[in-house]
Amino acid sequence: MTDFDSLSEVFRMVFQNPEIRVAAETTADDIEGWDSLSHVILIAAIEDKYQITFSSREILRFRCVGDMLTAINQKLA
Amino acid sequence: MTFISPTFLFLFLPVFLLVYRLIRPDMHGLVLLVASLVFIAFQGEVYAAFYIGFLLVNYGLGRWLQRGRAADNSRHWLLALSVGLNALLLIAFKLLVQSKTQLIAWNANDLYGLNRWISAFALPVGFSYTAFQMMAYHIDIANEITDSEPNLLRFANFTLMFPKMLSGPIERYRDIGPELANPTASIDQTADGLRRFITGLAKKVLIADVIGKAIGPVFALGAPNIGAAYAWIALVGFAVQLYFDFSGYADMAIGLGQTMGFTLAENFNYPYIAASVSEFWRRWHITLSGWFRDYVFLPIEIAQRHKRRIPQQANILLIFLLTGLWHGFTLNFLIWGAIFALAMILESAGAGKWFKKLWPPLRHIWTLGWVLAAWVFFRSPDLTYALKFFRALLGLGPTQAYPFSQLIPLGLIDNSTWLALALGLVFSLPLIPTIRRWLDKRLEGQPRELAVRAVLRDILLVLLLVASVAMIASAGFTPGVYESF
Repeated sequence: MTDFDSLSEVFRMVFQNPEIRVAAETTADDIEGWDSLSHVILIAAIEDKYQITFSSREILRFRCVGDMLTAINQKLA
Repeated sequence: MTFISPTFLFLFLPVFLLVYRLIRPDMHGLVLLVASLVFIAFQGEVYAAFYIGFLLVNYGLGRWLQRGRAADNSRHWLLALSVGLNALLLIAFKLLVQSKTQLIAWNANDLYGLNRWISAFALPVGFSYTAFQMMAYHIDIANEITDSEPNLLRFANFTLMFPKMLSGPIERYRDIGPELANPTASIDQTADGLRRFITGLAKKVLIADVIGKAIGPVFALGAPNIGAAYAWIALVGFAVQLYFDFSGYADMAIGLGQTMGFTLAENFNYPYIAASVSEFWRRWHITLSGWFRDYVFLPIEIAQRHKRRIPQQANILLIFLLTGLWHGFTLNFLIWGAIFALAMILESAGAGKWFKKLWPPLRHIWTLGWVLAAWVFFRSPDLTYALKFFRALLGLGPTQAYPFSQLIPLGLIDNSTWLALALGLVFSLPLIPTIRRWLDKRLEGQPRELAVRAVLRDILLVLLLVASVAMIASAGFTPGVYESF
């Protein structure tokens, strides 16, 4: 199981912003630089960190960071 | 019939709104469908018949896809069938429209009497938007982002509702689906919707069309034999015309949706204030760029996130070439797309880091430079004209035939053009939201002042409506630029 603190570290690394703290309702609108180009880099970084692989359909279903955390924890369970 | 034709403004819309407000709310869906079919039939009865068949096929495909989506195999071929059918129909229609003359020439003996049908063929109204909406619907069902709509009436309204029939926005079922079940609007929502509609009408009629009337003849010349000053006025004028034409249309569509209880997607967000080309595309025709991002670019990027086979630059180029082709199968639209792709590639590649540190005014100049260059290809009738237009912009082209000084006496540019252009440039900046926020803050907790402000705003809107109607009555009306796509 992981949590938003751990996930925030990945965001801070990808977007090179030590201030980022993500929550369940965080979306791309809330984080500067989170666009379609960086989205894929973020997903790959999450997969590397937790040693998991999402399916394309799972990734396309993410609407907010809460969805991501739920999917990560399902994989880690 | 478009939103600015007298039949729509003085007959269709008032009758529809009256019936919609007086009838029982559970009948709203049915009234909207009937109105939408009448609206489409006004463009041509054959389109209404076509769209009934089109929506039945897509309704069936959506239901079928939902039942078969659990298994990978059936999901893949059902999705290919659903998306392929819509894509092929769109490509075939666009090709047919584009190659009518050649087809008739090839069929010189008029075998089977086909030429009459070929020459009469036109793209069904709004088909580029509707076909894209259907493809997104099927992809979202396959990816379990949404379920298919079981109710045929709701599905018909999702597909054909008249506010978005002419030029979008390209709606997603996941966004608008919940509102289809019980569309109702309070009197305040209807009033707000009408206010938005009038704003869009004024943008289109008082700014876009006035500028369009003056600069249209330039682009109808055999060659742009004009001086640099007039070429720049024509180009900047076209940039303003296109924005006010299309965003004015979007305001009218969104306002109409609001009058009946629908929240249609925003399509523009002050694109000309963008400080990069990628930001421009997050502000311009948002539902089209969002479509290509979510259904083409991201799936390709996601599929190769661990092992890259296609460079990201090629993917960017692909989506912009496709965006160009969406507008029409011409070399000009392909180059138009390629220009935006090149700018985006430069911004996202190594130069991007340097670009982000650039002095902000220079970033705006960079962005507008690319956008204006792209508009040359977008507006020019062909490639030769576009290239000559660049020479005219630099003052290198021949100018004897149409010197700038002689154009004003010719009546192409008059005071109304200058006024419309100035207003267009000023209101391309987000002044109204800024003033609104400032007033909200200043008048907070002062009910009397707030009421006065509301009355003044409505008086201004009535004046805009009167001026727009007077303009339509005196000058006739021109269809929206984006209605032809």
